[in-house]
Amino acid sequence: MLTYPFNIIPITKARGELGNLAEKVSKGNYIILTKDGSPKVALVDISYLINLENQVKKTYQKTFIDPKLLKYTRKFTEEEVKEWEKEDIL
Amino acid sequence: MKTVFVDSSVLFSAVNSPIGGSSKIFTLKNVKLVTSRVVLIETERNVRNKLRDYHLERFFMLVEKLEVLKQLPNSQLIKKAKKVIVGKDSVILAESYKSKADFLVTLDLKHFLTGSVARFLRPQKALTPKMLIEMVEKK
Repeated sequence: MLTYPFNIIPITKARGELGNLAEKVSKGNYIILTKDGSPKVALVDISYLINLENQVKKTYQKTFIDPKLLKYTRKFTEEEVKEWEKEDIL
Repeated sequence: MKTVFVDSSVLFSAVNSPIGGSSKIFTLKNVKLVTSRVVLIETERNVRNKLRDYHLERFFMLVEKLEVLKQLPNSQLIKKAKKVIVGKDSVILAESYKSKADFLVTLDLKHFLTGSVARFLRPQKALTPKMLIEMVEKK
């Protein structure tokens, strides 16, 4: 039985309860293990981790950038971005 | 239905802020938003360099609401555009002209909302997102 509040547990206390804690994580539920009061690692469901990694990959692999057309584009300056922000206010 | 060519200043600003006019035009009904591959590349390049990771996801989400025209930059047209606008904006101006959209929506008032650009684009008209919203909401 878990005796610590919420899903934050010191690593030292988690050692003896690892099996029990592993049962508690599922889908998006996770447990944060702390060391000296600071978050150190998280216990997550493996399917949740794989799904998360796939989502990140998907976002980063997706691109419209075509090296052949890159020469027609330019870098925006900070000044013009600020100017656009002002003009964009409704 | 009127077509509106979205330039990179507007697409970038829509990615950057969900509460400005640029974002609002993505919710307008009765207008078709179009853009070109060059605009997408320019915007993505700047989103990756200047904004945060979650903005990139928003960029892809907004692009899904646009029709991406299958057009490539035309050197002759860019050359002509350079006669009426500063070099840095000539590609986008040429792209908008080539799209044959009814309107060009931009946040760069200084360079795009001028008499010479208006003559170049005719019959297409350059507007800001705010002007476009007011026009659509009046109807």
